[in-house]
Amino acid sequence: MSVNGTDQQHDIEPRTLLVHYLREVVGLTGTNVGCDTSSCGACTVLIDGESAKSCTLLAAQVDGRAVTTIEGLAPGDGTLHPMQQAFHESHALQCGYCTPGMVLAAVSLLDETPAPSETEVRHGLEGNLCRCTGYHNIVKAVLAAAGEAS
Amino acid sequence: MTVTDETAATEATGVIGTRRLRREDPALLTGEARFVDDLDLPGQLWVGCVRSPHAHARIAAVDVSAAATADDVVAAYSGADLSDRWAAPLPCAWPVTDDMKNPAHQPVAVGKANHVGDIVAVVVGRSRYAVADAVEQVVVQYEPLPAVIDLEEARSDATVIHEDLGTNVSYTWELIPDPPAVDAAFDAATHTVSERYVQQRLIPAAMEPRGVVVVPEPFGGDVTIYSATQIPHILKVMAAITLGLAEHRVRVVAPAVGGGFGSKLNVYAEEIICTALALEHGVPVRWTETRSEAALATIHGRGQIQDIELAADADGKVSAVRVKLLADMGAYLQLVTPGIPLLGAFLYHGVYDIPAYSFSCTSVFTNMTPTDAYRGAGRPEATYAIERAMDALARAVGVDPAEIRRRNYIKPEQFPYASPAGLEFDSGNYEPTLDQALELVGYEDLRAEQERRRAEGSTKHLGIGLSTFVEMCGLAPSRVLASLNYSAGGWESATVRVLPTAKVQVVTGSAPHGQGHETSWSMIVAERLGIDPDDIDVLHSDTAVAPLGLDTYGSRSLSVGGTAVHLATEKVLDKARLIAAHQLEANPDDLEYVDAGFQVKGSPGARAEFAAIAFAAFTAHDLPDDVEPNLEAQVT
Repeated sequence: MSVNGTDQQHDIEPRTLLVHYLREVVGLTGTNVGCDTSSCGACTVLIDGESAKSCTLLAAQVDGRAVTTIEGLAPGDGTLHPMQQAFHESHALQCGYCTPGMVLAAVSLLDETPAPSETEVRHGLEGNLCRCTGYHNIVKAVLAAAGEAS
Repeated sequence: MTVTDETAATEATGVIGTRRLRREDPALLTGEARFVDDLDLPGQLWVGCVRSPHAHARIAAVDVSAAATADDVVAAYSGADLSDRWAAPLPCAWPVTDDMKNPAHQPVAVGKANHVGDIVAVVVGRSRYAVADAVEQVVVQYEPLPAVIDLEEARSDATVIHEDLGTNVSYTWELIPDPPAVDAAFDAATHTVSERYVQQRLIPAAMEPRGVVVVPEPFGGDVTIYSATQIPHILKVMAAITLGLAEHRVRVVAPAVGGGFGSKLNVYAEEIICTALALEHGVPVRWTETRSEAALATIHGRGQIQDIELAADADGKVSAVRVKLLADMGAYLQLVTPGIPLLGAFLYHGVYDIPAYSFSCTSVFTNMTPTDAYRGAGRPEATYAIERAMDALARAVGVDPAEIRRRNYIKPEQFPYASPAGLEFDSGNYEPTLDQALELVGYEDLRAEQERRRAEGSTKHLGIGLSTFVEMCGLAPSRVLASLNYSAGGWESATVRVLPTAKVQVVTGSAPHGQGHETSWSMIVAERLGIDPDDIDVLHSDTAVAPLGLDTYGSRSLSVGGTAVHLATEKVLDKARLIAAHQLEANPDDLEYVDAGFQVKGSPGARAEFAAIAFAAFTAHDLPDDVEPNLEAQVT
């Protein structure tokens, strides 16, 4: 598969979860495991641009596809992706553990719905949990990023 | 100096109160931040925990032989195999009464499992998946016993969980300053209410599960514990005591920590098990909690039955409050379990002027996960009870819940107010706060809407809740904690260290897990030194870097830790003033600190810049006779 634009080829145990493949084989630890059960969204990555929870996918299921993790989101010139920047400016994170998944879910949401209403943002992010912020600033950040893009 | 000048000076150097983006964010937003599970160490071994599926059972036999010989497994241990590794049981640091019952809590249970999730065996292997498989291969024979899960039943001692203690009651603690006054108030009352509220248990569920990686040093027996903890300093002391290690050989690091909410304010079996096994195997040993384990083995919050009574006159003015708690300790006492319900002991009168006060708490063991600190820890429970009881009183008197509060608030002119529970409230003005809240929500309209729905028999009714409260926070000072038998102090440590190039390192003993200490502490120092906050680094959460500290819990970091940072900054400036006076050949008392430099009052041309003082302190070529080199100050 391709991970953040780089081809990756490994022989792995068939039962290897995508999140463990990314973290322990590829060595990209930005994708976090929160619940092991697809409930919390901390492990969200993009597969061919669409958000998916990597803790309940086998790495083998993603063979041949393009995965984007949080490490692959920023352009690489020292600046942040507009969604990361919006989270920063809106104080949309505290402990930051849910943040990589939350940011990628938000990127995927805007890809599908470029100008969402507040309700659509809340609905669109319901698969991602945060325990610190109370969500208000996360919603604000996503709306700000949508405004920026439009 | 005129008022206008003061304002201008504040605007020129003021950092506190300005909006700054958090310096913690970029690493967290890009995945560069390192949480415990992100660490990857050569030769590391994984620990898997075999946990009791029974709430209460005798452990008749543990057979680890199949697990021990499974692929990629290095060793497997029953509780009995490991029992000689512990120099002391897992710690409870809050013996609230002299006769408190505290069962020995072994990291791996021997003989009996006392809650679902109690560890009964551990396996050690070369991968996360290998130990998950091996855990399934450990064969444990249990003889199930009746499980005690009801608090009243626990108090009855029908089934005693810890036979050596002879009872399920851990302690009874009372705060009844004037018992006859309480009785007299109830005798004379026109209205009384008697309510029972059940505070259900809850699972704290920080987003990051717990995790620990213990790295033994190849020489000398030193050991470094990386843990997803709120309390690296307390963990260091307790790991040393529990394992019989010399404390100076133990280093604890809390890397990025993904939330705690009290649940990581503890010393857990897995931290101690991994440390023992890392020392035994001589390689890094690690464990990361699954979410299922978090529900069973990380402490729970709350767990109380609250009986609360109010006595009031005909107008609803409350004359006495009487509270009896039955509190659920769970199967064992964790680090501060017994003290949690007592943190509410001083707050059951809420923000009301209630002269007679009676609080008692009986705490019992059950066959459930131990409880301990969770968000507010004892205090929200108190607020919940008094606020619900005030609503009940409003119904009894026949007035609006807002009105019953107005009639009972401590009045502004009563401050400083000596509370019936023995605390002093220095200031407060509650009624305007309530007024504003009611106005903001359109209270009258909401009540009308509520009435309308009731009259119509609507399928959707409208509930309106009111709550006004204060909380005691900070867990300080040390003397007050001593009076509650708390084993640690209430201080915090801070070091402000000025480097030769006038950059600053702040070392703090509080240990953040999402609060933003680095941003806030840099602002406190920048405000006073008049330098850019970005020129100030904040170091924390590593006992080798910040050896003294009491960590982060109970809303103490800013109030106690932030104050220490401020005081250390003042001490640095005191020393800098002596150096500046020497350089300027002036009396130190004639200097003032303005715009990052000392100048002679009245002649601002004669200045010693902060950067120049920092470098002079470093070179030490020309310091006053009794001044040591370098600019550094520590405060505890």
